Amino acid sequence: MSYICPICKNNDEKYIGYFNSQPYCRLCLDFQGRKADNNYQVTKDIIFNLEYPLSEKQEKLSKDVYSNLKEGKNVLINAVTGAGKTELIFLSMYEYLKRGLHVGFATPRKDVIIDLFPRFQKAFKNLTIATVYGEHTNKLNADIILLTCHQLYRYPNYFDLLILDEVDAFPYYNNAILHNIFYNSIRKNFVMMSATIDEQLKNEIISNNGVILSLYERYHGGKLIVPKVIKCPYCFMPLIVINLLYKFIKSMKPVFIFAPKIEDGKQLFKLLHLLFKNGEFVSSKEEYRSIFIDKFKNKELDYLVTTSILERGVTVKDLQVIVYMADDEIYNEKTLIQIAGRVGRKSDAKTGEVYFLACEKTRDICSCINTIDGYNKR
Amino acid sequence: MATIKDKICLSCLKPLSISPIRTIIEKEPFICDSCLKSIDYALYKKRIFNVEFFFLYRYSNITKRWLINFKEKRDVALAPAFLFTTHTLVKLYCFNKSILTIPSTNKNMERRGFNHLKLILDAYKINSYSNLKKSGEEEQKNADLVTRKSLQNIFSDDISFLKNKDIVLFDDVLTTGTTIKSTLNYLKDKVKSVKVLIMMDNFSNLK
Ligand SMILES: [Zn+2]
Ligand SMILES: [Zn+2]
Repeated sequence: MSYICPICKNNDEKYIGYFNSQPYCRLCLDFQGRKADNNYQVTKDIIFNLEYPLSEKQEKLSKDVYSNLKEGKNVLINAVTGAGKTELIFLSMYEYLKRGLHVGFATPRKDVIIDLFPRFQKAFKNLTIATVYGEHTNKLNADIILLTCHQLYRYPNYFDLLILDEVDAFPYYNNAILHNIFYNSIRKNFVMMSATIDEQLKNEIISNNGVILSLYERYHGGKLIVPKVIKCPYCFMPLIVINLLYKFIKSMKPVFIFAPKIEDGKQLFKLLHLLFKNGEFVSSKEEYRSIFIDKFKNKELDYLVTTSILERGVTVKDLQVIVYMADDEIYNEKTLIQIAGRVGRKSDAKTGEVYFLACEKTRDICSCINTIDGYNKR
Repeated sequence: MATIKDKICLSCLKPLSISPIRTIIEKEPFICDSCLKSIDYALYKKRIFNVEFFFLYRYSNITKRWLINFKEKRDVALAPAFLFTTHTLVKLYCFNKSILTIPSTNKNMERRGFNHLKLILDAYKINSYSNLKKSGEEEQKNADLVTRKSLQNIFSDDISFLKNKDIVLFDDVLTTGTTIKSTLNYLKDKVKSVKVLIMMDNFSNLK
């Protein structure tokens, strides 16, 4: 029988090397390292409380999720941005933990983990929570594990309930190795969550003994914000950004300005910084980004110029959004929906504004607006 | 650009894409054009410790990545990558000379499980000797102060057969050169002449 990689399930001879005539997989060399202890005992006496009560629809959906899991099914939650996805799975997590089972919450991005950690700790006050990502891998075992998809290789056949948030985000999306590692770490059931699902994902979940549960309403009952498109040539765009930013800062509203590439963002920020001192630029390459994000949340900064790194996860009250060069090819429908979804997420700030600045209205811009309109009508 | 069916680049694992001319020249190409392009060649000689050193690459970019994957992640399949473009040069440089690989400590060798330098040379059937040994900190710690001072950390079994030979010492990276220095010291009066062949230069970076 041919060799099958225990980590990523690869069995293609092309990617197999031999060390002292023992086969090894060359595809997942980056996924070698310490593994978690599979016999870890979870604390069963749980103090579970939610900071805010769930809305009626959230309550119903969260019960639906658990009843499906109980029947041995897997679940894909399709919920609009700001529906309170994370809270939807707390009930199921609680039920699994109570029985001493292993529960994990994975997402493609480490920023999301850092952002979510306090919310988990508030809901499960007496449980230990490990956050595992990048260089942060000292503690692998805890009652609840929050981790990036990359780190799942440390948990082969470990999770009785594994939640995968933002299934459609880079780098998990369309990455065969990360897919295999995900499935490899599940002992019983999984829940996937996303705001923007496509046919491929639907087929995947159905072929995996799963059901799709949808939530088209934000937890506070407010509508999704429909982006406004400002058509203008590229040379005028910085001017329009300046005008909008001035308006928002005057009314004391925090602003995200999305730029397609790091270079575009840097240049735009250089210009804006001349007029508006109180801002920063963040990107995947910026090592102080978590400090800047914290400062922004604490209202110490008025605005952040960012690449798509902040398209997901980060929630800030009363946030307004400007997308600079929204017709750039890196902005597909999903990304634009996520970006627009940053706005109006808090129950005491349900509204806000999203501006797409574009030279022309691309197909993705149009379909993003149509989809959001569609959700609002359901 | 031609993509060769069912073959992948040994280095980047993507489908092997090479210029048409290479499909004619090379019998079995296995590294893609774009990987080859990112090699930082050194190809210069320098006198260090009063001996000639010859460097093939700089310790950067793709060659550095290869070495880390090869040594630390034990991706031994990478062995033929190192001298893919330079094996002829190495053969010429070492013509009529005996190659001695620079030793690692036993501890490092055991951890790795293979002699990485020999493996790199073997990939192109270049003969080499690994008679030199290096004692690690462990062995040295156990010796008392006096013996420690006189203790050479390089030793070997019988190398009298190299007595009238011209030697090329072979190592992967030159950083501080401590090991090479003690090796040169050890070989003094034991062989006819010594030159040093280094795959990657990290020594010049430090200066
Ligand atoms: Zn593998
Ligand atoms: Zn390549």
